[in-house]
Order: sequence, then C-alpha cells, then structure tokens
Amino acid sequence: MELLSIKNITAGFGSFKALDDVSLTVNKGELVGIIGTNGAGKSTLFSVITGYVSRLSGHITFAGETFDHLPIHQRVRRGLGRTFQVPREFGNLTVRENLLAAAPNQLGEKLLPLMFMGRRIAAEEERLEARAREIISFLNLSRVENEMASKLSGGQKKLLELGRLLMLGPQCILLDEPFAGVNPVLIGELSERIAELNKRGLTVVIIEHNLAELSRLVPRMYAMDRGKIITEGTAQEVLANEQVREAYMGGVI
Amino acid sequence: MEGYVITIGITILIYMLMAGGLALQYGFTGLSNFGLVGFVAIGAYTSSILAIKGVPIPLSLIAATGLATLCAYPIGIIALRLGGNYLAIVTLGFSEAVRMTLQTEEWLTRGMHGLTKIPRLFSGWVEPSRIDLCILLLLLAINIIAFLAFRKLVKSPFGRAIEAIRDNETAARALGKDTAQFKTRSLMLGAACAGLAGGLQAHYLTFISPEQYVPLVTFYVWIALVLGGADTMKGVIVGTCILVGFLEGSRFIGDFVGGISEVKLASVRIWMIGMALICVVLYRPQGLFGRSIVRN
Repeated sequence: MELLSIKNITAGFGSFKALDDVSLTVNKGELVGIIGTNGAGKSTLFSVITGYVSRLSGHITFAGETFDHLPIHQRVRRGLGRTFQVPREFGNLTVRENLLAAAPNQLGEKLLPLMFMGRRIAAEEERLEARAREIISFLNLSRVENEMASKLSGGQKKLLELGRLLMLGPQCILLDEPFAGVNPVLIGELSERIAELNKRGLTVVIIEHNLAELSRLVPRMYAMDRGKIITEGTAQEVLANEQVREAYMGGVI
Repeated sequence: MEGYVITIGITILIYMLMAGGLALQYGFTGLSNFGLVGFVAIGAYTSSILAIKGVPIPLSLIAATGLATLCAYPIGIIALRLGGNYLAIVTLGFSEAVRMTLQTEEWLTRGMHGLTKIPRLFSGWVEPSRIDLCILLLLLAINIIAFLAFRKLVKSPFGRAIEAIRDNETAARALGKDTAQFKTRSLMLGAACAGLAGGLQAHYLTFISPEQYVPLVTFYVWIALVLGGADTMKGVIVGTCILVGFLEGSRFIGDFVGGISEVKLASVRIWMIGMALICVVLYRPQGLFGRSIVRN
C-alpha cells in the first residue's frame, strides 16, 4: 500500500532546478534508501516533502492526503517526521527532556490548562516519562539520560534525534545521513535500531553516503543526480547501474 | 535615609518585574525584545488615564496589563515570522513608535507636558507618610507572585517547549511544534509584566511623560539580565539589584572620592557600568548566576 507519493516535483531557486521532475513512491512498512552525489538534491527532496522548501510544481501525497499546502507542523502531526544532516539537539535540555519536549499535543504546553488542570497534566507527564524511558532504553541512551544534550557525542546525538522522532509515534520517518560523523561501532548499532523499527512496521526513508552500510540495510533504493532520479531498484541493481557509477564515482568502480 | 532606601527598593522591584518579563522572552524563549519600554509605556499611560478618569487603581492596573499584553500579539504575528535580529529591530521601532504617539496625541496623553496628578497607590487608605512603605510591600508581593508563577511556568511542559525553541527552532518545528504560537505567547506574557510594571510605576511617581520611556530603559533591563544571567530567576533578581543599586548608589561616589565634578561623575557612572558589562561578557558570558547554556 502506497504511503508516501511524490509526483513530478520541481523545486529550485531562480533558474537553478534543485529538483527536476522527481517522482517516487514509498509503500507502507518499506525501508528505502536514497543515494546521490553532493548537490544531487536529496536533502532538498526531504525539505520539499516536509515543507521547509516550497515546490514549484508537482504533488505530494501522504497516507492518501495531499500535502501540497500544509504547513510544516501539520505535516509532522500527520505522522511524517524527519531528521537533519547536522544534529539539531536541544542543547540545554537533558536527553530525557529532549524526548519529552518532542511529544505532540501536550496539554501542559497550553497556558490555561496549565493553570487549572494540574492533575491531568501530571498524569500526562507520567505517561510521557514512561514512554520516553522506553525509547531511551531501546536506543541504549539510559547512561546519558540526564546529561545535557549538548554534551553528547555526534553518534549519540543522532540516536537522540531518532528518539525524539519516535516520541511522535510517526508512520514514516525521513533520516538525512544518519551515519555521517558517527563512529563505526555506533553505526552498526544505529543501523540495527533502524532495522528493528522497520520490522515493527515503521516506514523509513534514508539518505546516506555510506553505501556499504546502506546496501546492507535497505532492500530498495533510488539514485539521484543533478536533481533527477536516475534509477531505482535493489542495492545491487542500483550500484551496478552505469549512470550511477558515472555520476557517483566518476566511473572508477 | 529610610525613605531613600525605600525609594531604591521600589525602583529595584519595578525593574525586577520588567526584567522577569524580558527573561521569559529572551532567557527562556530566545526572543530579542528591544522594545520592552514600549509595553511599559502602554501600561503606564493606560493605567494613568483610566485612574485619572476615576477608575479604581486595581481595575486600571488590570486594564494596563491587558492592553500591553494585547499589543504584543500583532507584534508577534508580524515579527515572529522573521529571524532573531529582525525581531530586535521591529520591537525597538515599536517602542519608539509608541513614544512618538504619546508625544503627538495630545488630546489623550497631553503630549510633552505629561500626565500629572495620577492617583497614588494607597492614597486615602493609609497615612501619607506610610504610603511608600506600603507600595514597597505591594511590589514585593507582586514580584514574589510573579516569580513563583514564572518558576512554575518554566518547569512545565510549556517551559520545556519554549526552551527547546530557544535551543533549536528548526528542530522544534520538525517535531510539529507551532513555534510562532509559543513565541507569541511568551512575548505576550513578558509584555504583561512590563505593562503591569509601567502601571505600578506611574501610580507611584504620580507624574509621567513620554521622555521617561526612551530605549535607555530597555537597555538598562538588558544590562541587568546580562549581568545577572537571563535564564535563572536568581540571575534576574541579582542582576536587577546590582544594576539599580549601582545606578542609585554611585551618586555618592563624589562624596568619597574628591575632585570629581558632578558632570564628570555622571560620565564615570556610565563608564563603570560599561566596564562591568565588558568584564562580565568576557569572563562570565552567561551572567553571574546564569546557567552556562550553549547558544547556537
């Protein structure tokens, strides 16, 4: 069943087309990779899907609903989460607070309920705490639970970002270079967690330059070059593709 | 002497209320509001005009707080779509626009003549010699209530959300937070404090004029926050005490150090504040009692 569908998306700045007639579909429960050289338009694609960059033409549908004109936070609330290339932790909050802050639709975030509905908010907090603890232990972050997020290592920050996304209870997550700047040991762990989440039914789309790790992880991938999708298929098929080799490695391999 | 101490106490507490509002906006939400004095002026004039017309002071103070809060709403809508530095300029412009309006709309504000005979707090309730002390106690009570409310607020899920927005707004939006709404609310709450402080000050001074509401007042509150630390209640309290204590206390430097003329003394005072500010920023950028927070 189709979950995310992108049809003929074009986006750009002036005469430069960052995305040129891009179409792709992701089915529910799928684990899909996107590869491509720097500047191929991968991150722009994520930004268009999530509403950070506006498209010039084309359509985005998510879970049967058109996303073309929804503001960023509305897209998130419909179950589509993303991470960024560079970790964007809430540096002065602890790991636990980072996760708690991510939870959607909190009663305690509104001023009037805050004044009059103390007990319900306390109950809500307790529920969120339990959920945050569960995710923290799933991601192996229990040891740093009460550390300021700014003190974490690059890899831990990536795990933290994943944890925050999970607090949203999303249907689909878009991960932008989750393995970049992460040490090999943690890459294995991160990769394992992503696979586990996918097994539990979460749809995942990953942009990644670490082709070895990515092809182990995803059954299907797209390759992009200069704003266009050049091919699609299994990892072997895509990496064997003449155009991909040409674009990605200058034909060396 | 006792009277002078009370006067300083009142000034400190009025500034502290403003600083509390700005701390919520800047220290906890990351909003650079350089137009704080605009909201103070709105509060002061609203409360004064109403009270002169015969509205009981408590009611006119509530109206003043309310109007200052409402005025923050459109600013939020306009400015919060823009980045941080733009907000600083927009709010500074707003406060100057308020001051110009107060100067020119003479039918309402009596322009440069200012408003006189503003009803004094507690007058007719307690004997005249005790009024100042009562105002001091009232301000103390209001500050305590305000700071308890702040503490509850910043420890709540709302506080967590605005701190998240301060730390990384893009990430907060990526998690589905309607950041503009949070920022508007924070701006409005801070404006409420400023408006109330303005109203209280007017009913203490009994005379106000537009030139009291120059940007320097905003900068003083900023200095207090930079000195003390903008993201802890302790920082706000200590920063305000140091600033006002110094501004007032340094009048007497001339008494201890001979050979300085009055004119020179005025410059020396500002120079000392400047030096103190530079030292704090260099050696303790988070302020004396601020948390050592990381700014992006």
